[in-house]
Amino acid sequence: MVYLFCGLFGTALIAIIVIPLFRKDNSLESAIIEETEWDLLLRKKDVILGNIQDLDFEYKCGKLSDEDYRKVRSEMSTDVAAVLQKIDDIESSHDMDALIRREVSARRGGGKKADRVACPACRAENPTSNKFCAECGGKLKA
Amino acid sequence: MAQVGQFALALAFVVTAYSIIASLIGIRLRNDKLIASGRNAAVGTFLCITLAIGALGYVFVQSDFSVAYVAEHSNRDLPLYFKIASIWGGQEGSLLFWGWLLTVYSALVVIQNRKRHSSMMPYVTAVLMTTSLFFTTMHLFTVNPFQLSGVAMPDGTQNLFTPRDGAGLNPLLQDWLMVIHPPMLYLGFVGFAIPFAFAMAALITKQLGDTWIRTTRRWTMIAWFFLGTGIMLGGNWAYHELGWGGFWAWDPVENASLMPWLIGTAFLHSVMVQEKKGMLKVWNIILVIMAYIMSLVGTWLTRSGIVNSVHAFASSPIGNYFLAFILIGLSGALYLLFDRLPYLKSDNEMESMVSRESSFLFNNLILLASCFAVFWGTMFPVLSEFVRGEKITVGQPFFNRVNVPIAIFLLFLTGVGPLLAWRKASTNSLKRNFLGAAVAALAVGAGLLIWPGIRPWPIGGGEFYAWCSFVMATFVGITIVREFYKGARARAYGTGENFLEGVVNLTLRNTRRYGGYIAHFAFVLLFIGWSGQAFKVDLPGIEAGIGETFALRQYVMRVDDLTVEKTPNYDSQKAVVSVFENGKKVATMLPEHRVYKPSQQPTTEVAMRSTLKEDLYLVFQGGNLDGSKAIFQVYLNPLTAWVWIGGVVLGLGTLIALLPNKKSAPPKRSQKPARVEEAKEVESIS
Repeated sequence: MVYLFCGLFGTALIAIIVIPLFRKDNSLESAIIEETEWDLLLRKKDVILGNIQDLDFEYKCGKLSDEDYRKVRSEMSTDVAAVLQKIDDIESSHDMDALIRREVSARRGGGKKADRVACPACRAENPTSNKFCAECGGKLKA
Repeated sequence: MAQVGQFALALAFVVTAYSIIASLIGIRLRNDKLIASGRNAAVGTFLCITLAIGALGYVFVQSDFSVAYVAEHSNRDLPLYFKIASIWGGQEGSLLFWGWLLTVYSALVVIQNRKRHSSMMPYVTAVLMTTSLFFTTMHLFTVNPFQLSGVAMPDGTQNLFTPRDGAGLNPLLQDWLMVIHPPMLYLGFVGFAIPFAFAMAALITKQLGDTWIRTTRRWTMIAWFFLGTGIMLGGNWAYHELGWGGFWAWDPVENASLMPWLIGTAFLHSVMVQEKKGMLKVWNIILVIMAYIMSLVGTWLTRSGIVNSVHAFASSPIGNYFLAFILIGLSGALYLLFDRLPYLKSDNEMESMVSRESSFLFNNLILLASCFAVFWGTMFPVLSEFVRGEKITVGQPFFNRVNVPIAIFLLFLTGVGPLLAWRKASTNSLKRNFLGAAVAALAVGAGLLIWPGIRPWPIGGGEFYAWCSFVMATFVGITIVREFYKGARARAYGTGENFLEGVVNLTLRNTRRYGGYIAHFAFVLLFIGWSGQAFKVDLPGIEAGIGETFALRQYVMRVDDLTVEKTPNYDSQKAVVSVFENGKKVATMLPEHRVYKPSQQPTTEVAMRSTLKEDLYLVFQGGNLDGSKAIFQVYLNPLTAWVWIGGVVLGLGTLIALLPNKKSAPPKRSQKPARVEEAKEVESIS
């Protein structure tokens, strides 16, 4: 009985481990680098915007003097503007890494039909947030 | 069933090794199938070790004394829940338990992230499984819990035999807290493996932004929560079980759990600086490495018996293997860190010494100084033996002298830090935030000199620190209450919520911040409780027969009866003691003195009358030499209940901080802001 149990357990375990090896697709997910400059800039933008929101709330609570609030808020606004500028630079250049990342994130998010737009040049589908086609690099919107 | 356990361990060894190899080769060859197989193998390791620990539980419940570990740590008459708790009652089982929890965490992490962080996860799996492989190797070859009972013969063979009954679980561990204290503590120790594994993966893949921090911050908090809860439960166990009137003795094993907790506390704070400002990146990695290494050191100290401790019930010769593993892990991690330093540049620089980020840095430095002091004191006997050949133990006075002032300064920062602005705080903002609280705290300080008449001199004495602690607790308490008040008021202007709704919604919409404040408030309560220790009094070794009385401060105790009770597991002498406070009977206390049958080990079951003001703590030490009288020890511990209340609030705060933030709902249209309503009222009147 003990041997039978051990045998069944062992077989089931080996099956669990081996099954993925016989999968058909090899998606190469592991080749994706998550922290491209574009990703980091997007997160930085979110963080600074979050910081501004916190700052506004702390000011509303009366924890900051007017002078401190104005100074820090203007500094943060300058920071976020600089980050947005960099994001724009990357997006308007033909940085393939960034485009691939955007494509992947759009697909992960479900990429519904309505969120996508066809490229006028090559007919490839792109997320509506793209300004340039991920396939041919052609301009998507006027 | 022992065979099943043995089989499961052997299988775990192979599967764990496969998981490491498959993950590493898979990422090297960019082969996602192999990576997925390695990930499943990590889950397989969990299944194997679960089977092993299940088998161990089964042999305990069945009282199968053919297994040596069961024979040494259980007996037939042990209640079922203690039989199950006996799994971690000794060396072999507690290490298996440690290893099992690691596989639980690992399985959860690999399943949670199976579709995320694809380039990092194979390394995370490999790091976690390497630790698991170390433990599995230990289980199999050094401290095997499934070894059969028997006697070693001179020719090296073993003569197997099954004892009729076991030696029983250590009586000190036969307490309901011992059923939950070790699992909590271990969940804390083991939990730090997760942020460590992610930090290593981030270093290896050179993805040193904040991905690893975002992914692991909750895991770190979970580990920290369990470790803190484990420490509190351990303190409570010591208080009501060991019978020496206190809850913390700076025992090496207590210290071993405190050190990773201190580092974890530092990390939980400094991680915010990285998230918000992109600073302290190297520092955070160092903290994560140290928290994990200290967890291993903690386990090593607990399990190797290298230092004398109340936990000597779990000592064995595994120390050297553990030390080697710790040193290899530490060197590997530090090598990676130094190699990747160029990728860890700060995004910003510290702009002012008076800012929230600098207060976080101070808090970190102080927590680390405290950790170092504890480490130094704990390891001093080992170091002195190594250098001078004799073990010199560092006592409680050393730890208190160093850590009490540090702790009070930390409490001060707890009040100051959250009120300082990020980047730079001007004198004007400082005045606005601190003046009221500081004046109130000093007023309370002055009041305490009059009632109850604390004398905070000489400087550096117990009463001095207690006074400082009360003043600081008032200051911090006020600042925290004001944070909630101001936040709720600011919300009320915008949403029309009433104050209570405001407080609840405020907390639920920023759980991390306000959960953190609740945790801070818990420390206010803890400090009040700890300060009570400065005023404790005791009545040592008093002998009294039936009808006789003895007194401590306002309490008079009268021995009403002395009885004997026999149970299958232990024989007990019980005393019935009436307690009178200022002449009025307030309680009947029933302290016990037990002798456990299998081990013939005596223990005391303390009787306690606990109020928010003080605990009356009565220990029955058994009969005197001629058996005519009973010997009692009495302690009066002021404010101790606040320590446990603080502990509960700390857990609550941490759990709130772990909740996801509630999303903001659009403001209620029907309810106009309070100020508009008021304006209309004024208009209509005029």
